[in-house]
Amino acid sequence: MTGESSLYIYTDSNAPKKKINYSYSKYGGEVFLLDYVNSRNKVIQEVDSAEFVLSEAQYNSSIVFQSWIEEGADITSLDLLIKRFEVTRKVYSAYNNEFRPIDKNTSFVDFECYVFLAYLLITAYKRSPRLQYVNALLKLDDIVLSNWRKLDENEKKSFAYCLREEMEIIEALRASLR
Amino acid sequence: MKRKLKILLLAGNTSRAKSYAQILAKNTSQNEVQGLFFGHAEKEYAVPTLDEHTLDFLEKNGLFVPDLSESLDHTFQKREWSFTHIHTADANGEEVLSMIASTQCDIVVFAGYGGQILKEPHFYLGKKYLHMHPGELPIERGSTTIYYSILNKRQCSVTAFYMTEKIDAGEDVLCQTYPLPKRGVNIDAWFDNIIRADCLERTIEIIGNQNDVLQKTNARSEEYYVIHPVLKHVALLSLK
Repeated sequence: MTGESSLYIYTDSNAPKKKINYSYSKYGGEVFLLDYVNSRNKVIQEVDSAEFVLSEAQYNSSIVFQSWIEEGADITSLDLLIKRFEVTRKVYSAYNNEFRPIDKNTSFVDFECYVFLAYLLITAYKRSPRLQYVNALLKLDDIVLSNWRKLDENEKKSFAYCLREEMEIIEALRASLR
Repeated sequence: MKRKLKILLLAGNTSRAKSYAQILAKNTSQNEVQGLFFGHAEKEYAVPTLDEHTLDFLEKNGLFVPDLSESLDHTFQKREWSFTHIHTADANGEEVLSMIASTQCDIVVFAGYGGQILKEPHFYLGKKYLHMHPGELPIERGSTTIYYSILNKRQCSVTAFYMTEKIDAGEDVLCQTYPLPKRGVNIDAWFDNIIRADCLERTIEIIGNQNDVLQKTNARSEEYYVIHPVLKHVALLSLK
């Protein structure tokens, strides 16, 4: 997904089956952030329009995420979901009450769920700018970016919208720290 | 009245453990220190380089800079402190547990390998385990919290607390604040370990003075997870 010389190395075609490693990440200065933006923009340019067009969620998880997007998420539940995601780096298509996959055969490769969760994290951050939301969003977007070719057209448009929003959040965060 | 402490350093072969050992060795108090070093045969250890900018920042802020090329064994030998090696990197292994159980000590200072968590059996041994967490508890629980402190425009802190089986949740002994590092200071290899070691030294002093539990605050607990490299860069590039 990124060019050979890119410092942005956080995509992996084996994700989400294999976890992308973020521990002790190397410092690359401003160039790293430019490469990050370029890697995101490359896929955004592939769609006619970056807009969130997913309307009918199909999976149990994405149905829940969609309702949280519309009605606002309970912070405790969202925190638990983020915790599970950070540990597993997977989004399952169906969860039990404790946000664990309902059984060992539950799918974690239905990317619609990832795109809905990305959009949910963006809306949650806009309501309450907690860094946990952005941190999970970036990791989630790396996974979807790693699987870009597997998305259908509506998922691509919707995900491109999420990427654009993600970059705007990062830019605003940088501006707030200047 | 000051109490003479018996301290067990439960240590992996890491920069953090060396920083802890050397700051304990520097202290002239008569505390009795023993070492339980684990995983040495399995782990290759590369000594991180110390650039001038980082050294300058640490020295200007009066922080002790350890010699990370010095082995744990050597530090202990210089003070004539006893130590034992266990060749498993598993901090929760039977061998480690039984060694701790048979050691007479007031506190176990934990300096394991990155991401290691002590499991329940440790907390049934009747020992007090001390951990240095970078961040103010309970509002900065979890991982890589130095970067989150920077992003949240807060000072850096280290909280010394007695561990329980619940992560970052035991009784606090000390929460010490530190200045934000300057841009370019090596945080992962130096600053993080050095402020933790500094807090350890202060904490041992407090415990020796028999004044060792902080009043818990009612602040809302916030848990953070390994920081994404983009956020890490935003934090580092915001430093002056």
